[in-house]
Amino acid sequence: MRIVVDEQPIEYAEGDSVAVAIVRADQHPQHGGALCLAGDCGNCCAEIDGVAFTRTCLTAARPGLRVNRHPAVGAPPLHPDPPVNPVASPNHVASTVQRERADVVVIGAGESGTAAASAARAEGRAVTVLAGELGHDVVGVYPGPLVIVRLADGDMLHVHAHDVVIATGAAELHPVCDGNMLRGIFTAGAAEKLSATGVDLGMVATVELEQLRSIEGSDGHVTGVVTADGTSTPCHSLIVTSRHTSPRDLLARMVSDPHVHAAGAAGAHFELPPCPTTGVVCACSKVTVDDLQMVWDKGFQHLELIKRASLCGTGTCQGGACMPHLRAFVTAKSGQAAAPFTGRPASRQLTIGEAAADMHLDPFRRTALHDEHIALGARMDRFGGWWRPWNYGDYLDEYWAVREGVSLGDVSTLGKMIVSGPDVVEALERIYPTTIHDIRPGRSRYVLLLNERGHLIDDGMVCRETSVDGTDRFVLTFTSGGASFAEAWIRDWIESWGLDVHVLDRTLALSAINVTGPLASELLRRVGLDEPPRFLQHVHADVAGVPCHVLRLSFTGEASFELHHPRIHSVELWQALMAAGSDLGVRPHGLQALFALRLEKGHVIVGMDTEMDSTPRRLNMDWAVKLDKPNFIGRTALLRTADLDDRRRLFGMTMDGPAPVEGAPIWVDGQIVGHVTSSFHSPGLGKTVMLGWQKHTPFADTVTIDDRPALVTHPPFYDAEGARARA
Amino acid sequence: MRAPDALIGLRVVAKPAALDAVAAPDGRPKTWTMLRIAPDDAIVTGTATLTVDDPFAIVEPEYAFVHWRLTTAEFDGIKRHIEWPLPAPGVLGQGLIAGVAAKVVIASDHVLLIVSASLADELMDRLW
Amino acid sequence: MNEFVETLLELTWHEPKSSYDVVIIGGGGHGLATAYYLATRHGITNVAVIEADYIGSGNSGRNTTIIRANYGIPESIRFYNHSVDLYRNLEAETGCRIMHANKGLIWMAHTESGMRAERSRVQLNNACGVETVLVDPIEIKRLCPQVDLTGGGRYPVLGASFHVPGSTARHDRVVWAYAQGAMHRGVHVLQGTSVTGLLRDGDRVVGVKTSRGDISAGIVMSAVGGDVSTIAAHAGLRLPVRTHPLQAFVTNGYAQGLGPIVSSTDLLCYVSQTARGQMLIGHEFERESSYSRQSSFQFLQSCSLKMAYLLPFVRNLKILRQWTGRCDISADFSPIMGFTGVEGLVITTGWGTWGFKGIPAGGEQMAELIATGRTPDLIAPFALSRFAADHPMADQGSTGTR
Ligand SMILES: Cc1cc2nc3c(=O)[nH]c(=O)nc-3n(C[C@H](O)[C@H](O)[C@H](O)COP(=O)(O)OP(=O)(O)OC[C@H]3O[C@@H](n4cnc5c(N)ncnc54)[C@H](O)[C@@H]3O)c2cc1C
Ligand code: FES
Repeated sequence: MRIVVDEQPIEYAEGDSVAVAIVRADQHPQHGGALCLAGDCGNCCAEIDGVAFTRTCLTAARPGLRVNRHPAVGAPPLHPDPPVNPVASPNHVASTVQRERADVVVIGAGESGTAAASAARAEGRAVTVLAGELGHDVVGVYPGPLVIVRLADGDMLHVHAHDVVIATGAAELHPVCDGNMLRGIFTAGAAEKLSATGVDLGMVATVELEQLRSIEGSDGHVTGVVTADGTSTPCHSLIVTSRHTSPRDLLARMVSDPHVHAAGAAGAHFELPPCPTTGVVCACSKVTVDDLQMVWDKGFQHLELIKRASLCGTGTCQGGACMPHLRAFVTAKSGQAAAPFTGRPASRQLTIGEAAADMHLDPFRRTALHDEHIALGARMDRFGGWWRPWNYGDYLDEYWAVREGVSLGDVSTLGKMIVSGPDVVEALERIYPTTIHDIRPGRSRYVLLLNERGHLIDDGMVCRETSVDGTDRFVLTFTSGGASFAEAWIRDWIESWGLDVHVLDRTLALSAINVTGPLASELLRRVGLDEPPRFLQHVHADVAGVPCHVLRLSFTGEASFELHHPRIHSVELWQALMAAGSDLGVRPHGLQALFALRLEKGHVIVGMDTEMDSTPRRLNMDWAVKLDKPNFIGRTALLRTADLDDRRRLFGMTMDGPAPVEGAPIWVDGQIVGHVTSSFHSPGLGKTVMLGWQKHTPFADTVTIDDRPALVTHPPFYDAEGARARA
Repeated sequence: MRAPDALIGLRVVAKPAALDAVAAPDGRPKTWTMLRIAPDDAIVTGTATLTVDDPFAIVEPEYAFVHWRLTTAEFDGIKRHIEWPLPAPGVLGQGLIAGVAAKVVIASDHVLLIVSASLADELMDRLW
Repeated sequence: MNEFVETLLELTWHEPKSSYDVVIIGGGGHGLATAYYLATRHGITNVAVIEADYIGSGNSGRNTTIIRANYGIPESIRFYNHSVDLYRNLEAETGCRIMHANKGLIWMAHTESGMRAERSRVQLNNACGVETVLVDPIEIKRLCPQVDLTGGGRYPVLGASFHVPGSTARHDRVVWAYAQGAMHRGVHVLQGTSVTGLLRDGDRVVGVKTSRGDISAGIVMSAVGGDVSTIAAHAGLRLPVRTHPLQAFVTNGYAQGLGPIVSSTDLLCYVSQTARGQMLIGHEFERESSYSRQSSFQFLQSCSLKMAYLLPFVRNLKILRQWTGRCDISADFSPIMGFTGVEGLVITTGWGTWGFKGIPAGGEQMAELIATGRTPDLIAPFALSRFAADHPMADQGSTGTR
């Protein structure tokens, strides 16, 4: 059985780890340095099957396994992409996660771990023991507590525990002296493991760490050892023993949670080794005692500063091998006991792919008409968490269909909410800056939603339902992107006011199709809506046999009917409208056309034309605010700022020639005063129309954009009297 | 995996006490199933009408959800995507499944997995 | 190994005095840079910087080191652009190696609204003299061949803005460069000393109470990062600032291979490769405000997945370490610099998740404000009084990549 190390086959024996196999061949997994074979140092790390920094002592040898040693100088190479399935999300190719719950997780199956486990079991608690011997590589302990484990087969295990006992014991010390980066140096524990597996270490010398002066070598391999008394002993392999140990407490130091405890040696007080005088202290970052001395002499005299300046302890083993020596150094220099530095995950390193295993990001929603759009050739785009048609080929064709004929828009993503209850009018009066009580049943009103600072956060319609049995009920709408926020916002306020109001979010239950254009009424008549509602009215009626809530409004500037209907009937309604309107030239429009259409009307889109601090005044929307109402969210702020000098305002602008890019700066007298928020070269109007901010006073009547003059005008740019919308 | 079925039912928002009374009609046999989403909010399946003792109750047909009726073995196959403690049999459990908000009801021989219709494709992609 | 420390760095420590002309609370980048510029630009050296732990122990030693000026409002672009310029010369000026590397920054868009934001950024940046260009997917691939333009099939890349001056510098070396420059000129830096209160004479602040005794001061500046609310409270000030944790992680070191800094608006995550070859990765701050510095696995999971969508090669890289900082997030996502309305107390705060790049300009401008008693034009828009006037410097969309 062979593994391949740097393209050379190496024989291994049953049960060998990769490191043992390499040592068996009288080689070193790196280019030198003491080996512990216990996962505590970084000296055995190599690239295994394309993953560098893998501890070979913790990886079982298997036939054909490919090992590449890290280069002696410099870092291991970055490999180009691992194979990707271009349509699968990346987590589909990563390892998977198993999840468990336990009353107690004990990490470590040594004496103290076993004792802790049986004590917990005696109390009747469910115990999970995690240990290297059992194939568990514990990566980290997180608040929760949550214990993250990599399993031998590459899968991950996440254990949610009530209590965690860290009984990881103590690690052996690595020698720090001249020659400590040679090949052929082992801790006592490593030597024991090697002899148990029958590895021949050749001529061996065994020296206590405290007695070690230097290690001699040639060609990078140990040839002898010099002890404190000056005796030199020739050897092929050096075994370093020590009466000192170092607690394996990284897991315990990485989380402060009263349910995580260290037990046994991992939590015990221990004595620091003697202060090192020569040699490499931190093998991972190749930091010598001289380096430590140098940073010390330069005034870096705090353990964290020394670590950061020298990089000692910042490598793969996270201080596992070097921390006791570093602390001994600082303690000797400063005369004060140096505490270990902060423990940070991860303890045993995991790959980014392993961390991402079985993880998912926010899902994207689809409307019931998703497949219809695709079939019609739509380019889908994500907007406000939904997939929406951006256009169906040519957005100007769609624009003309709305202006001259009739067109369908999928507005299922609009927020929709039913509210009812004895206090419903009071609640809505407090939520919205507009008056609500005087909205007559069957009518609707455009409303702004403000926050406490008087800044616009959303807009929509308030529709009052015709009361059946004397109880009041309203349907509220919100923007697609703002719907879920608005729902939580409204519920929170109603709850904090203690008002008696029921709230039902209908956003996901009801789809909506906007039928818009001069021929919209005609199309609706053809599918059974004999009396389409008039502007700002709303009715409940069957359209093409589908029960609809029909809202008459206008965002596009033409007569528009929003058909809110059961999601399950969406496709049937859409197809009926498309069929009934085929001779009228009906065609769907996407967001791109919609944005252009509404811009001609000067309608703002919250978040696109508005900014975080947009008050109604800044948007020229004071008409939608009734400051004489006793109370509504944002009123106090608006009253306070009403008297302040205001230097920000959204204006409409027109210019000849092509539309400037949205975001283009607006100049006045060689100064940037703001930027264009929306722009469109209107084929209908024969000029470019825009919205944009001026944030300097006095506000200018003409401005410069793209080195061209633009005229500040009041929108709407199209059908200023609204005759078409009301038609 | 097969496509999900629409979850047909009523959505009821009403005073908690009124919902409690519907949930346990005195004496009369119950012909419907109530999934209590919140104290004042429930999905009721198995009936087209419902009388609720709250004049302001909102009772509307529900179209937002789809569901799969999974065999216990099928459910075992997706359990690893659920990080939260599973609900007791018959009790509605809600939480993220593979990052998608979903609901489960565990019965003796099957499990109902319920998700917003708008997210059904995403969930299928992620689970199967 | 330590060729970087060798370059002139030497910290000289002093015994504290009981009185200074200027006392700066907080030995992070902003506090130390202010001290440095007070000494070098204005000859004011009777200054103490008081640091509760060790210098750079706050966010200045925990950040992901991105330096850029591609902001979304002219006031910010001008300020950060000045800082980018100062960074460029910092090594020459201080003689310290800060490992400044100009790599360019790719800011990718995956949706039409994302593209709109990047187009707009490009327009405004160039109008303010900052070089940011719109690049198409082919150009992105040329700048960074590792990018998966399909975004794992989920986040297809439609285009990006490429910010030419985008850079990184080693964070703690920036802190030390300012510290040593200030200390050499006689500024006292007192580590392991916490400020526990403010000395008042009537309404005026006249010094600080510390864990090592009272220290009087002609003027006190607070530069304490995420702990700002506590210090402000001592002066009876309430600030529109909340503290949110921000996490980051780093992989082991690999051979150089990732050219530019890569980030994504949609995924709100970003990566750069350090001089040691590590991938330094971060994402947005935690929504819940808190003073916690605990790291979460949830962050590591989602940030890892996001990176894997953008740059599939990272999947096989080993995560070395993750950590958390506490960020002072202001109500409008812009910094707050200058006078506070309380005599004797000036402040620099609201640096949130984006304040490393602002250290040189922030320090320079605050030094000028302290030395002259007047607010320099460059930072006038960032005065605390903007909130009362309802003139916030709102620019949330630009904080995404730190
Ligand atoms: C993970 C992360 C990534 C980031 N990435 C970037 C990035 O890529 N680019 C970027 O520009 N910005 C980034 N930032 C933000 C940036 O790090 C900070 O905005 C910046 O370092 C702030 O510097 P400061 O001097 O104001 O604060 P800090 O560096 O936090 O310094 C404040 C100091 O005050 C001390 N202090 C606090 N209270 C007291 C007291 N009572 N007495 C005495 N001393 C006290 C603290 O110990 C601390 O040392 C990031 C932040 C984090 C956390
Ligand atoms: S030899 Fe593998 S970790 Fe020490």
